[in-house]
Amino acid sequence: MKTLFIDTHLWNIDIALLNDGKLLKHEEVVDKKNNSEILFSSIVKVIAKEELDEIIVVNGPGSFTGVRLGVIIAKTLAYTKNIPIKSITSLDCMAVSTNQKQVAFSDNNGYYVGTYKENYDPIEYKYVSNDELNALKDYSLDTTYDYEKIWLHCQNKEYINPHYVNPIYIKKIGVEK
Amino acid sequence: MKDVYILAIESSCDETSIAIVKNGKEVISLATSTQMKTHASFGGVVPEIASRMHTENFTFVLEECLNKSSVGMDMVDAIAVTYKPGLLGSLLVGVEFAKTLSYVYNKPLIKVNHLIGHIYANALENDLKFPLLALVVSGGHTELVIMDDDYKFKTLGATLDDAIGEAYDKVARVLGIPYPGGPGIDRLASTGKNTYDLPHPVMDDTYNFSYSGLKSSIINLVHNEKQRGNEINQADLACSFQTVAVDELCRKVGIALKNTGIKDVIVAGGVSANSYLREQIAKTCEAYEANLSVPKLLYCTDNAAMIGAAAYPLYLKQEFADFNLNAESQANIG
Repeated sequence: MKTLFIDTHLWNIDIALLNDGKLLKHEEVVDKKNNSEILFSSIVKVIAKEELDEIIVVNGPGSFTGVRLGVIIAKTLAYTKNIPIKSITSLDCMAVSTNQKQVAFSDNNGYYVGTYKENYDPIEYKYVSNDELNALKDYSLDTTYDYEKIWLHCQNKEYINPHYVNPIYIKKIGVEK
Repeated sequence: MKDVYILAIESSCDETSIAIVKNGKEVISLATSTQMKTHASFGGVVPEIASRMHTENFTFVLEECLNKSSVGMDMVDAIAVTYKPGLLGSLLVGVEFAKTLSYVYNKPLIKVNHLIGHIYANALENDLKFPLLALVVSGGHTELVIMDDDYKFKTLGATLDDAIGEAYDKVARVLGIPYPGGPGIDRLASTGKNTYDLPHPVMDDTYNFSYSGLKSSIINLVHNEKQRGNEINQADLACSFQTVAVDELCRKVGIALKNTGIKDVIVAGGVSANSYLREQIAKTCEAYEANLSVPKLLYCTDNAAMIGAAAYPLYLKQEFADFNLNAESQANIG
């Protein structure tokens, strides 16, 4: 089974092609300067001539623009080519990859935090300040992905109608406060 | 020659719109999802919310456009998309959506300037006849442009400060007219009289415009009357503002027609929906024996059909974009 994995939640580019969860191809760009110019070409490069069986897209939280562009490309590919699609959160990817019950990552102003029960079942996602994070005990800041573990975790998820694959944002914006 | 079908995409502000346009002039299908009600509750467009709604809406709008169309994706010759100017986050969603369609269906990608799209909204009515004088009036632009041919623009003059649409929005806010302010002022003005003595913008013979002074004088007038406890006649003030603002546009168009001898005029941009402008500019054109084209009301506001019309000359010239296409928030005509 060939899976296209798309993650742009840090406004980085992390595109992978998996075969039964094993990494076949990987395009990674950490520099964020021209990402809107190279994101699509990176995805095309990874797909090449492969027939995709499914798409897994990271639907946030993280960079609003980053997540949105990954999601719009993923859902449009899925919709137009009839490819089954699933989404997973960035925090779930971290928890599953590193076997942690509480994970966090920074966006320069604060931290996105995910807290989990058994089997990486999320209890809560939240956005907190540096001080609030320091008050939490036991959290992991390790953002290393293990693609096979992420893929295996997604085996338990249902495919979604591409129309309804959408970002989650968690962090409130001005008009919501 | 073979017919050319372009699937066009527009998401520069708060409308998610997709159209299929034949030969740059016949609208085969148009689907638009407007976010106006959502943004009205905030008193104006919230850029982050607009980007979110485009992401949620695009596949639905595509489905609607294709369902309404007698032409399928297999007959489409190219994918066109607005890439500037507008809200950056909103433009980016449209651009990546367009790249994906271009890739999946293996069709060339065409990048379109939104302002030029407004000009070509007139090509959906009648063929453009060159040379022509284009008056571009919107929330971000107030410009007089000569077109000698497709995509050959020469700017005669532009606003030195605020755009006319921006002045409408600010005046609407002071008068307590809900967003979007332009149509609200237009309606209110039609029930009032031109009684307030307002300063006239740039009373010179250049082709430049200025709306900041007019806007400020109204803000001050409303403020002063409030302090004195006097009531404002809202309809009369709206009418007085609209008269000064629009008459100045028409006066400058008149000067341009006199000096250039051009006999074809088009009006473009969101403010072209204004009823008083449509009425007055027709009188100006009549006085100089010029032909006037204004878009149908449906094509005055942001829509993808005009993007399909503007993409057509680029398709004929085979001016295609690649997957490195980026969005830009700022742009001028040409």
